[in-house]
Amino acid sequence: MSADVSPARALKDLAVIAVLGSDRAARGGETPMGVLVGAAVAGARLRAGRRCGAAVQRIDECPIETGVVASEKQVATLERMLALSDAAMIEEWCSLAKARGLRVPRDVVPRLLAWWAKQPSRAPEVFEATGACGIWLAGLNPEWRKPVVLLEIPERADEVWQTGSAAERVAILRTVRQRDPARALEMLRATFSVDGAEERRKFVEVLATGVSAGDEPFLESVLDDRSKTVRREAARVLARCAGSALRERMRQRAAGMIVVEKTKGGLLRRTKVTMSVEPPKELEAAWERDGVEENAIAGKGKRASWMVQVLSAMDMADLSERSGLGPAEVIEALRADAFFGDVMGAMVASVAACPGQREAGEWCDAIIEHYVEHEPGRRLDLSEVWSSRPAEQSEALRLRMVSGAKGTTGGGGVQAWHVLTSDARAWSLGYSRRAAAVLAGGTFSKTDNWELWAPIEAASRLLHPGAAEEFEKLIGGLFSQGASDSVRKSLDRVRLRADMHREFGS
Amino acid sequence: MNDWSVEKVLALAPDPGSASAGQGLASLRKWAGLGASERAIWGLCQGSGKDPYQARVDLSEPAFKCSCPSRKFPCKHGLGLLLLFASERASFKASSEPGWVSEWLESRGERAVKKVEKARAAAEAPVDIEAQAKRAAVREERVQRGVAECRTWLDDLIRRGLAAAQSDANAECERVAARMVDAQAPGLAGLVRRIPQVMASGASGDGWEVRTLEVLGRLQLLLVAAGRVGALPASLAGDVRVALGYNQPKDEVLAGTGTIDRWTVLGQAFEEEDRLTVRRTWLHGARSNCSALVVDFAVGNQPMETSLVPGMAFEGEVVFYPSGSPLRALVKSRGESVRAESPCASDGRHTIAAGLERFARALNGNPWLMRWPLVLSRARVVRAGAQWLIQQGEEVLPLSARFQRGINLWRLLAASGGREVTIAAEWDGESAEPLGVFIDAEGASYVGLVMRWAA
Repeated sequence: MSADVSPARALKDLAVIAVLGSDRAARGGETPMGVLVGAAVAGARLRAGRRCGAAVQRIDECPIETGVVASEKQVATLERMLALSDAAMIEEWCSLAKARGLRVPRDVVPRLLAWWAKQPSRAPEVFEATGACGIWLAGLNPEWRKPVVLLEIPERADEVWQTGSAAERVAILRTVRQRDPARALEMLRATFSVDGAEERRKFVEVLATGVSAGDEPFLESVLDDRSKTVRREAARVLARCAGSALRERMRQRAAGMIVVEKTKGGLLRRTKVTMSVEPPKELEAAWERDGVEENAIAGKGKRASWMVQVLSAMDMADLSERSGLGPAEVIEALRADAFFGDVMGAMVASVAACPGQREAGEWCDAIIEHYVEHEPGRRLDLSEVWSSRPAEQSEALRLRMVSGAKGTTGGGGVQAWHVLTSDARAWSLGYSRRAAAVLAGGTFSKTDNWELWAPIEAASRLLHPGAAEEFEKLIGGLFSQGASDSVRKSLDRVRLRADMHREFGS
Repeated sequence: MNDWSVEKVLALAPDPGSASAGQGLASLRKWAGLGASERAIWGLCQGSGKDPYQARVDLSEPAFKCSCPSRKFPCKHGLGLLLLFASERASFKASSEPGWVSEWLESRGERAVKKVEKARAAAEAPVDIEAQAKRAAVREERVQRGVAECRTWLDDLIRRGLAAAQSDANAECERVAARMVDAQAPGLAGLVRRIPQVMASGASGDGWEVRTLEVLGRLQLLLVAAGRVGALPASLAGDVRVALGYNQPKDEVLAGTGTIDRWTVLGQAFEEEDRLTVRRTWLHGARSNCSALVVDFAVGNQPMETSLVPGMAFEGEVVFYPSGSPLRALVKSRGESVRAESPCASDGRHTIAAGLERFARALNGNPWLMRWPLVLSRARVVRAGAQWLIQQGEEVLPLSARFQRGINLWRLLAASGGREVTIAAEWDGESAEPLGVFIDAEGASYVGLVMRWAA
């Protein structure tokens, strides 16, 4: 092989022979040995002399950081959270860092971004914690590019709406609705007649958040949609909208179902109020338009089902107004009625469906009070009652719920764990301490109880960091003979969060 | 060794899972009885067992010992303890060593002494030279038969053509590789096993046929050399034997004279194949401007030596395995480890051109050399389309495809910020795989890019 043939050329030529086989190669004359030795020489020359000349693009330099790097301890805590891939904790860390103008060190930025890009939530505070380096790297890596976060309407919003996938359209509708509700309705109207039924339903569902009188004309028109699931969704959203015409229609229907009678009697001629429940005899066509199903709810008769659906969409305050009684007195007045259970169920559904209705707070108090006083043993999921209230009232309601020491609800039993942890909002310090005190009263026969795993995990995420010690003591007391992995993980989570808050001085 | 950072400790973890678990334990709440002496730290960690685990770390190496039943080494407790030491130094009270710490340290010392004694005894013991020679001759014969068989197969492969062989390359190469194992030539078996991979790779650069032929050419070169190994110069003969799969006992190597220098640990890379893990640790001598490669093996969860920490430097003696291009080496003796400064003086010898020139010379001495370390000062990361490269002056080197797929590309970018840094990388003749970054601007900090390649 002569030296002036480039080794790459030589190797390529030999490869042509090698592919066909030296026996068949047209060039002929080359023995297998010749091919291999030639390849050995050319290969060695190639490896030894390889140079790379490419038209390269310089990348912009990363801008100078403005934030201060978080301390080594803070970062070590974040890394522990990343190792657990615990989204809630990582987001909490980033929020704390953001509030203090801190950023993660550059070497951690790629790992944090890679993790973040895989999260469905893609919380903006996580991205912000990566500082200038994060923005710079995301500009170089398409997978990390900042997606549409619900902070601003992107320029190509209309284009996404016209041509995007169902999921993208829902996302853009949410974003636009937050910033510019009128424009969101305009977008909806523009394509509604040609969108598929499932898409229409999802779009209507988006309106449930922050629904107001402005949405009513559109939603009313959707009550006549050609698809039943879409009609039902519109009715549900209108039932959420305090003061809507649908709620007014339901109020009028309800007036015939809960009858108030006032009689004057006795020595002092006091007005006596009696209330009775009168479920409807038949289903009127107009009710169905407003979302009342004809088929009975499982376990109820048809009449009771219709009534519950109507009552669930009315203002509870209407009962007080018509009777002149407070919420607790209304419940008391109805307690002897045969349909009382159905009415209570409707009240729970009502406050959950429309937390913005008049006197909702008072009604929630009264509902919980009733269950604590009169039905303490019932295993009921009332989480939608307190979850619909401001955090402070929710905490009070939950503590009230477990305060009755009788039955399964009271004390520190499994049910108390479920009640106390059944609201997704972070706990106040006072609530954390009182909850821990209540739960410490529980006794469990076995060393561990799987029914507690989920509520203990929930508590570990919600607990105020200041109550970490109480929580540790609580768990230690419950499982003195050794806890399961799940419980230990929860305990670690509480400690990790406590470490984090201490490190951030919060 | 007092200069522990979280990253340096994590570099000691046997796998990412252990690193995470260790971080989970790096909290004061997990530990009781923390203490430190001049040479060691220790603590008690409550695990799932009844008694807390006794974890201890000899800081001089470092070496680990823990009473937990884990087969990982170092275990998460050892890592957690050292991580805690890195971040919460003040919590380790200087105190006298408890019995379970001092006994271990002393037994370590005794073992070291015994090892030396045993080695001396072995050296002095009468060797059954005759039996040894007989065994060697038997192997020699087997290897030569294997070499001949492999040549015939390779010849036939080219005769029939690569296209015809492509479809059942896997089974065919596996069969030949097994024959080479039987012939006690594991090096040949490894080379043959890699052929199907190359044949299947059509994606990057040249076509598969050119890449395959290049590999076959290198194999052919080895087979020809093996056939006349007796006639080759001693150092080249040594390289041929290594490539065939002969082992050279460490003791023999350590008996040689080494190079005394200030050695910087440039970085590490792990290759995992089945249950075998191979670790490459690259060293660079400041005065000699020599590169050295320390290779360690571990099967399953077997412990790896943890004393060479990337980003650290030490004064010591490094002995090279005999070779036409000495590279693989062992550390014979070493002083205390300190944080390394950037291995680049401003004398211009750390350029791409100089590095490739050295690689070319090294290939001239040992054509079967697979990788070569490059230290590139004032280098930048740039790109050409989707390809990332290292640029230095007018010259560029492409980064390997597998490196570009991993998170370490982004750590490299984050560390450099698109500015000039010193990059240590492995070069295989085709593409570079960075091992670590020295950032001169920020008080000579080091970012290790430890790669774990799975076969």
